[in-house]
Amino acid sequence: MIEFDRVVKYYGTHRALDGVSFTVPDGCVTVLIGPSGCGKSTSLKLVNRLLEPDDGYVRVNGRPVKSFAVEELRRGIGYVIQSAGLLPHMTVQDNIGLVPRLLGRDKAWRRARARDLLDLIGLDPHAYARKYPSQLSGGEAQRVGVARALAADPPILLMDEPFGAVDPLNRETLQNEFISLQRKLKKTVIFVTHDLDEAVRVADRIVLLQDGLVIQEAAPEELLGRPSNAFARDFVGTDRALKRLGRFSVSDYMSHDTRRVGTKDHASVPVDATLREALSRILAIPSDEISVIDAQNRTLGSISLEAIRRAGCGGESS
Amino acid sequence: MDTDSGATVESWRLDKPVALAVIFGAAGILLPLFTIREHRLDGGTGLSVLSASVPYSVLLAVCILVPAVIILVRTNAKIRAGLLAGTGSVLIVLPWLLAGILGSRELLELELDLGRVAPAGGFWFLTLSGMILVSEFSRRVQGWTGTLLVAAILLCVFAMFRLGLLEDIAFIREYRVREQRFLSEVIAHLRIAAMAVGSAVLVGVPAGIVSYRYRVVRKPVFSVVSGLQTIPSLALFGLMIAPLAFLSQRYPFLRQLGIRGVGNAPAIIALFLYSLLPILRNTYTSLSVIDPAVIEAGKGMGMTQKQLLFMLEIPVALPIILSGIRVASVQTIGNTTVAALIGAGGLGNFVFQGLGQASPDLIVMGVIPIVVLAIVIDRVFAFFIGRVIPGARNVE
Amino acid sequence: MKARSSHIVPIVIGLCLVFGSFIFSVGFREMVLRALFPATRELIYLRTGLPHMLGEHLSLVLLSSVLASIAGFSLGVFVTRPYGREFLPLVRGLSSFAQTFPPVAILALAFPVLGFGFRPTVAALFAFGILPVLNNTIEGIESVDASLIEAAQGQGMTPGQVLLQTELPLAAQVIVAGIRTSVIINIGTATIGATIGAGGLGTVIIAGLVRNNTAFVFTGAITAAGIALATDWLFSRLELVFFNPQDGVRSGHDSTRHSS
Repeated sequence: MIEFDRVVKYYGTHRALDGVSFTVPDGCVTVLIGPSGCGKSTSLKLVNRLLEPDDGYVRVNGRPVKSFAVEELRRGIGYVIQSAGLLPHMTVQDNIGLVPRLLGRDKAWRRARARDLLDLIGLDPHAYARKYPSQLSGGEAQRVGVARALAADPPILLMDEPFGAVDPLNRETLQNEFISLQRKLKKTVIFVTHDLDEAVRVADRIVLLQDGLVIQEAAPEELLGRPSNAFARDFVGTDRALKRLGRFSVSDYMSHDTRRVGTKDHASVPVDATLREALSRILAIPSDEISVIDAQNRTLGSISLEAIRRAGCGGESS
Repeated sequence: MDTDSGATVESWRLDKPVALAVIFGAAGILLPLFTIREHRLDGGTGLSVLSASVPYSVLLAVCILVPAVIILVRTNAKIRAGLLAGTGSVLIVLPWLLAGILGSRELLELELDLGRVAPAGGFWFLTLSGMILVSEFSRRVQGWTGTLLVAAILLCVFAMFRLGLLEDIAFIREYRVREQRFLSEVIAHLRIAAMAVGSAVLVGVPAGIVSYRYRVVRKPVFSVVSGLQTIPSLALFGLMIAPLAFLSQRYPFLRQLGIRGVGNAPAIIALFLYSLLPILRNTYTSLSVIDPAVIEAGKGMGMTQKQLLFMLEIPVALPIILSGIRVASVQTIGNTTVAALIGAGGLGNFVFQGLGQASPDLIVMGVIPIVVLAIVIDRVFAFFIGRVIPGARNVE
Repeated sequence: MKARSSHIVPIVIGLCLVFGSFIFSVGFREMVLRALFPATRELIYLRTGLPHMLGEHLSLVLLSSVLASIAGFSLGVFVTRPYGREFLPLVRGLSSFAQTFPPVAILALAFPVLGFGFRPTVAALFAFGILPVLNNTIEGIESVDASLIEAAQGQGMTPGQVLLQTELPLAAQVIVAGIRTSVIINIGTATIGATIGAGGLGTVIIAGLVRNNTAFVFTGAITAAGIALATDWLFSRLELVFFNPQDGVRSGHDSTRHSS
């Protein structure tokens, strides 16, 4: 668990963080979000002490980060940044093996670990281990950046706009890969982004910041359903109900009654899609209902506009 | 018919550099290839290849006609490049052989025992023409092929020299007279330059790192060092003399170390001061242009300041630092020549002796090794810099 | 910036006065040299006056640099035009090759080709001085953003207008930096010109070296150094006035600089 306890940070006379308190529970993804200059990256860098607070405490598992030797602390925390920051003079496998090298692991161990991690992030070790960063695409470099952060198997991962420099199509792929990776690894992740869609997609919890203050700390559904003030409402946007649907899976709201579906128009939605996608499909057909299929194209049931509406209102208190 | 010729005219484009080489080559055949001199300081009489030998004239003419034909006719790119390389090499190598063989024959016929052959305008025009063709070839092929061809050409000329074919060429004559001293001056030249650049590396690289880490020292360090580079070399050498003479008079142990107002000591110190700027500047620049994200990543992974410097900053900066050392080395080889004026050793002694005796051959003899040293050192650095650029090892 | 430059002005004026007196007043020079070299009997080089040698030196440099700048600039513009672009790789290759030639080698070779004196020296200085101007002209023009040139063409500018109103103004700073490098190199090489009888400040240095007279050497060396530093300083002022300086450290533009 990582705690921020009334943390204050100045840049010169500018108060970047103005008494920020929130907690990051173990094993889930906490997204820090807000407009630029809100203090989200600053908060992140306080955890691995790239920055030091002027007041208040940052604690990891109850122990103030100040009490750790700074290099030891950093070697125990994975760190992923926007432009990957791969060292240009080292191969992919040497980049991945860097933290283990700092920790004194031998070469053979590092090689093996690099290959395992390349496998894990979906890059062929044979093709990629000996490449140099300049030979990678943006998306590949970013994957290697994630692998490098994971190399010493740290329990905590700090991600500073990790997919910010990747084009939209690749970004979505990377987000999905990250989600499934996190499902396996269950790291404690702090993830900074300014992209609400990304936050909604990857977050277990969201901390919304503005001008160095925490505006709201909540699950994504709750943030979208009940923004706590005018700024939060503004920030999540007028299509927040729609975004919120993106958090729900079709499988949870479908009816398993296969008889009721009209099959003549062939429109259907995959069972692992979100309600947002289901809504979009339904709007494109003349019916109020659409069939739900699995990966083998078998019809499992259907989902109705009414069910989606009910799910959408669910969080909204009237 | 009309449309046909229209099409060919459109696809035909004049290859201007090759055309230039052809013009230079033609000039090279028509102008005097070398001059025959009765003795060392004689002005001499010019002789063109046309008047000296018909078969060789024909050979040279072919080497110029082939590129001329290449311009006019469209051929396959590979054949084209091959022909450029072939004719270019011949145009560079053959003039040496002609000056050697035809020159000697001419000297025998004229019964000039003390006579010598000096390359003249035609010789240099043919060389220039060949260089253009070789450079056009290098541009069309990848990697080190071009450099290899140049090396082969130089080797060829060297082989002719070893075989004794070039003995009557004027500056070879000068060389033969001084064979023993030549080698020792080359070594002296290299030693002075190496000591100067070596100490400049030892001082300049750390100074660059310090200027990068501590911004306050940057401005004063840079203004002093770039001011030094601005001072004319002869002036800087001159300014070294008085203080060193004073010091060596004051402290006898310095004199025992060989430090005097003139000689190698002031030369090495001045050349050292000169070499500082390129090394300092490149070290500083190379460190400041490192992507801040990379440094942040290094810190974020838990590197200590020392690890950051030795595992990250210096290796990333290495290619640019090396190019600074390259510039400093090439420049120092040149400036070491001037150091002969203040009594230091090196090839400058031949050059300034030649100037003093008004002997062009001696000057040329001194200048050729200086230029060759500068070029060889430049190429060696280029090779190593290519090796340390990330990814280069993989591509090869 | 204002406060700092006003601080510098009296220092500069003071230096100019001292330096000027050293060059033009024999009495002052003798006083300085007497203090520095008490043991030397002959302090003043009498064969040629220092102002005269300075004049020779400056005319050597001025003549060769003006010619070299014109030639280097024209050639640089030529090889970046569509009709000259074919020569660009050739010119680049030859000029980077030629740049490994030491300037003193070019000077020495001027004698076998052209003989002794003022004109061969100008020719040698001219030949080597072309390179920095040429390189920087090419580099400056080539580094102009292609989209800006397209934009200029898109507005209906003729090729000449694109050159004069877009490319050259944007490349000007780099080109001037090339001229600066060229001039500084020529000031240095001109000093050695004395060895092929060109006159200039090298004359008194060489005379001092030959006669083992350190005062002579010092006279020429300090004057030549002063002229070089002053010229460099003037150029840096010029660049400051005409172009916006972003950084105090000169970087890049003189990376290929050879001094001599």
